[in-house]
Amino acid sequence: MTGDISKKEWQTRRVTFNHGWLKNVYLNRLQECEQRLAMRDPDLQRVMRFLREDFHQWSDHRIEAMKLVESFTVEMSPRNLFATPPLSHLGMQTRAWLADVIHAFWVQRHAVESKLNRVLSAVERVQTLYDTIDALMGSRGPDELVRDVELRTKMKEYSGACVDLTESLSLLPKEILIT
Amino acid sequence: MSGLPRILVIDDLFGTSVHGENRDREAFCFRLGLQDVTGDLTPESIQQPLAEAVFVSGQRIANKAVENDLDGALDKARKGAESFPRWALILLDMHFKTGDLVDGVPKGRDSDFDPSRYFGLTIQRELRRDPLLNKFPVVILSSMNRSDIEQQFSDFGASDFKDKSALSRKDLAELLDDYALLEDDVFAGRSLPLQQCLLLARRRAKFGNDNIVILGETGTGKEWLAAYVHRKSGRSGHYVPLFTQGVPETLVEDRLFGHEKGAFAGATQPAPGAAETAVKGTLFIDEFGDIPIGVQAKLLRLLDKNIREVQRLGSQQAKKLDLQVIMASNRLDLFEADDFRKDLLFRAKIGDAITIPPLRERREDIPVLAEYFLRKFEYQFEAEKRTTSADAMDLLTKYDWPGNVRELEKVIERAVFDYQGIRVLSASHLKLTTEASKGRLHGTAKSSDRATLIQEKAPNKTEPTTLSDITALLSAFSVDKLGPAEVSGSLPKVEDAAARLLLSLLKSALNMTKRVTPDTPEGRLSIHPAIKLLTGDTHISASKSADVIKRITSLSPKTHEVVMADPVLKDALEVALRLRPRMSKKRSAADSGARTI
Repeated sequence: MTGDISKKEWQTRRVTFNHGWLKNVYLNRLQECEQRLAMRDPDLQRVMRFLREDFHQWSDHRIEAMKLVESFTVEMSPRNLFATPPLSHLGMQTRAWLADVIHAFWVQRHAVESKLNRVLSAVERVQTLYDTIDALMGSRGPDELVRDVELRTKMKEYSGACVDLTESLSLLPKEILIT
Repeated sequence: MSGLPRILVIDDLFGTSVHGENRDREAFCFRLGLQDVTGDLTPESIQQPLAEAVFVSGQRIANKAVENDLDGALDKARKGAESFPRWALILLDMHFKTGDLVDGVPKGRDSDFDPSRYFGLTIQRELRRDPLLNKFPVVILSSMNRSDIEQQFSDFGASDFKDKSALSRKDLAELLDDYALLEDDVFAGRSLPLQQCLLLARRRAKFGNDNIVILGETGTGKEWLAAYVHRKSGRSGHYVPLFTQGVPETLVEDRLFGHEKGAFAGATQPAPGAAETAVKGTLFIDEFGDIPIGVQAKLLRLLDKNIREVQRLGSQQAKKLDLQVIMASNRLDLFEADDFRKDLLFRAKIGDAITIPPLRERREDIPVLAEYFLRKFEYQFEAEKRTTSADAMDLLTKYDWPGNVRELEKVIERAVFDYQGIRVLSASHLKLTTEASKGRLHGTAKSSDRATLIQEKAPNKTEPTTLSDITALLSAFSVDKLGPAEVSGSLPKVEDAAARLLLSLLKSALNMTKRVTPDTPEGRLSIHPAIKLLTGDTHISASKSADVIKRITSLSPKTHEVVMADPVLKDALEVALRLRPRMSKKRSAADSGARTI
């Protein structure tokens, strides 16, 4: 059984973050930059455009990623189904214990904690690499930076971490599930 | 035209440019090796692009809000479907964001997020319904979850689903190879039926060691297609063609399976057959419908891809082979034929046959093919380079071409050979094979009349028209009680006999056209009318007639002796040599290529 949710906000926020921004925009541009850096003679202007204009978008969107993790258990729990008919017609006492049981069952059955931990680890990994690259950018001039092997390596790892983040977010259920 | 395949990308994010910029499209193009030719912005020049891309948003702005625009998207798709360069592939996004613009970006409506209502699915459904657009392959390109719409996009005929953010240059190359309608450098033509045929051939080639049947009328290019399949299969071995038409049963078996020493009289050495020669590669059996029934049974084990065994003549040992077998036929009636084993047809996978469309069903290819053959024969005969006049092209494209591409090639060859110094090919240079050519022009005769004409005048596959045809036919005669080696050993004699036959025909023509005058009651030799009679070409020039005589009289060293011993032929050769004192370089080239007379 799935809930025909009135609360689609979490799912909409996830689509907006994961598909609308992370996959379609950020990863696309990040992979472009990564590919340019791998060339023998990287296009300085275009690489620097990414590093200056796009790279830092992560620091704003990180907050959204964290909010998605934090709100998931509350917004997507089947406990919400008890607030709307037909389950809202149950007696208060029954609702209280049944909602708890269903919630606990859902957490266990869908390995919610493990999935959320994976998202959190991915966010942390992205953040760590972001900080490393940010530090590299601060310590080198553009000409040196585009030829820097370490930047190339870290950008590749960073791109991989972002892919892992999109995948881990996709693992979270997109509907309120009771079974 | 760049020659690159052109892709239509329908995507809200990539399709819109703001102030002449679209960072996301630029990144996408760079990552995948796409040269942006949309024309709404100045694109980066991509090094070694895989394809050209035209981006369309599928949306429009109305009252400061972004709305989906189905008609606009379909109109754009139709433009590239009706005119060249045509779409090789359509990449279609699923999730299109609509609504009020906030900082230049649509805010999004709830309905946009509902997978069952994705605008991409609506576009795809309409592409599927359109009789023209449904011929173009569509691949879904989305960052959304594919499982939500798996059923729908399959129902609407999409070829594949690719995650937008994970797609790489290598993936795109594979997509093009797997699904796109592509032109080929060797197989000239760009019509949809041909490109669909090539796509099917590439897909079949991917299976590597499977059996493939190619069906098509005479002259459509079945052997070319077989070679194309081999090229695309990536198999490391050789491409080995085997022609069995008119070849006696024992010889077919020997050519196919090989023999051991002493297998028959004259088998002094063991020799592999075509199947063994094609190991790791491709064996192509042309006109397999003509394989003698006795050999068909032995072919079964070769065609069973789990067995793939051959046994040489005179051997007790079967040999396992790794090869791909392609078989071609112009017989579309094989299932009804009494002389063909049905189990062989099933094993050959005739149900999955690739059918090459006849030239009359892909008239768009005629200009491309005509240009290709013109360049080929201009080079071969060292003739003037020429353009094609509108009337010539009109004639070429309207003719029904019962002999298909081969007939077109012959007509162009003849036109270039006969008119080497001209710079414009006009309709008068084109000698369509019969008097009935006017009746065969597409749309000028009643269809029933045309059908009758085609049936009556279609070239008989065994009718010899050139010296090569005659020798091929003679060499294929069944000679009772002779082994393969003995037959092969007789071929030079057979060729010599054919040359003598031509000399005798020439002599007859010369005698029949002698002009009797009071001064020469025995008749005066005149080569021009004799050659007109011999070739049936009433427009042939005197100098070309001299060339024909020189050619016939020098077909082999032995024919020269015959000529010198015969006063009529000797006189004719002397007249010819007076008119054309030496063999020109052009003529030598022509002789080495095609010996059509």
